[in-house]
Amino acid sequence: MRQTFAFASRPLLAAHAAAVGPKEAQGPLADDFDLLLEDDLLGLPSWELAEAEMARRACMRCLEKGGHALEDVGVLLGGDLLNQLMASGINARALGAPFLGLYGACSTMAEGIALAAALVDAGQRASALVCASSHFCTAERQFRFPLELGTQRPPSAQWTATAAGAALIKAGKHVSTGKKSTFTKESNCIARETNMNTEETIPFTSDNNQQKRENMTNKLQNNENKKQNDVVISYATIGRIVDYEIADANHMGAAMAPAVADTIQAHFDDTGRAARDYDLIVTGDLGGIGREILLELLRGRGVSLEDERLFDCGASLYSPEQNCYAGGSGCGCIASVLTGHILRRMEAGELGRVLAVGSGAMTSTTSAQQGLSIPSIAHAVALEVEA
Amino acid sequence: MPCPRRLSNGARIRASGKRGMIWGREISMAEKRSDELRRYRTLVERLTPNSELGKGCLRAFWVGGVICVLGQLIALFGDKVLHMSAGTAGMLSPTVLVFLGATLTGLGVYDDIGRYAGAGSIVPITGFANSVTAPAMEFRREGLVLGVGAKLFALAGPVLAYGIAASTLVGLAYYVAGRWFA
Repeated sequence: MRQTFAFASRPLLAAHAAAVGPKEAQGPLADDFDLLLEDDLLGLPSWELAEAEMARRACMRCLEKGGHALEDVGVLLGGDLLNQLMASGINARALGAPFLGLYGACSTMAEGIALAAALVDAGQRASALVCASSHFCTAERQFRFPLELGTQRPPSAQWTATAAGAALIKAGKHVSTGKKSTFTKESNCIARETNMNTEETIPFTSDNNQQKRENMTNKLQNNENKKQNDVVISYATIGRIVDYEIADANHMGAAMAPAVADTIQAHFDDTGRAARDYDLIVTGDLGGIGREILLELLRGRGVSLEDERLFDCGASLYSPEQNCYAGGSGCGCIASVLTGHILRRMEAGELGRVLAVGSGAMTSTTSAQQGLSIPSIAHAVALEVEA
Repeated sequence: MPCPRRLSNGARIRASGKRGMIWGREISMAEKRSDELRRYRTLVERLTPNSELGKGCLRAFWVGGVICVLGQLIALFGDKVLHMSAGTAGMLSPTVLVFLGATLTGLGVYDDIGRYAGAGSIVPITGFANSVTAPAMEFRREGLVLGVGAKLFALAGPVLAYGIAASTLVGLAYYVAGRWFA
């Protein structure tokens, strides 16, 4: 087992929540997200604070759904795209849990789940909360151009998703104690710290969103009632950095596809499994073009993977009318789609076994300016339904 | 004829049938990798759609053209209606265009124009105004000095630096040529 962790105790993915911004809330997967935020600034002074607040709300909703107290969270693993993990640090300050900051670019969620499962499986912690977030505006101002600049993007460009996803991992064979959540609304809130008057609710402003809010509350309750199947984590494959000398920052799909192919192949080699052993192989943000590249790469290496079995979160997050070029990207992309859409389907029994492969382009503004190629990494987590 | 131990190019012949070796010469790992990279680049180029160059050029042409015609009309207005001197009328045009570019950027409209027109809206002086106004708006959260002040010319700086340098060189050449041929 060169690159894979095997989790004998099969840690439980006990709860999950996804928060998304306005554009994602109008996409095809909107119904599966827990929090649909109407304002991507959330009434806060900067985009970075808004991203941290979005991540915090996803974490709190996740704990609420899991009936788990914030004080009982064993460890928080979080990451984002920002320099020095700014948003994750602010979120961790608000939550107060022991914190491990992670950087895997867009593979952070998969990296977090892998490490959380490893910590829980080793018995170090009884529970671990994983969170990853991204925000279109924070990514643009850090990596690309000011928002109001009139530039064009090529068809291979991707759109950083304003989204956050949180997942609670608990020790396997967990017996529910029926303990009610002791979480109160007095937990640290970024808005409170900055003396802003925001409630601990979604800032809907118009009347026709009242219906949406009611629907969402109802949907939240339904989610909790309908949940039949437990999802466990069986394996995690840690990726290696793979660099096929793609230097085009507007073609992340091409930069990351080789890393995804490498990790998928390593996972199959280590576990003895094949693509047919999974109902779905979920990739993070290869986008529409990167997805096609991946399929051809795997074909060339003798790994058969059917087109219908490959689901790319980035390619599915937006509808074609939203003009998001090759699709969504960012830590929040796989974080939200996995914790929203994919896990919902698994708990409802539509999917039995899923391999979630998050991929990250380990580029920086400095490396891009120096004309260096984009090294990439992909981490895989095997999720299985336990009836 | 018996197989020579060494070929004319100096390469040795190995008898084993190891993969990665062709008759007489061992492909080095570096060569294999560059082969793989080349094949991958071909694959990426094949699967990546191109930007619509024809449509893009037409859009850039007509939007850029409209901006330039607008500039000319403003100069004419200054000359015929406001009865400005030739020099002042010539300065009126860029002044108004820069103002329009900055205003449209502030209203959040210029980025939509740019997405449509590309170079047609970047190249004229309105694009310069956009490249200064956009970072000013973006970085005001980092304060007036280190945010707005420092980042104001983040995008326009190279234009100023190399534009002024180029015009200095051209001016020098013009002066020398003038003296030479006078």
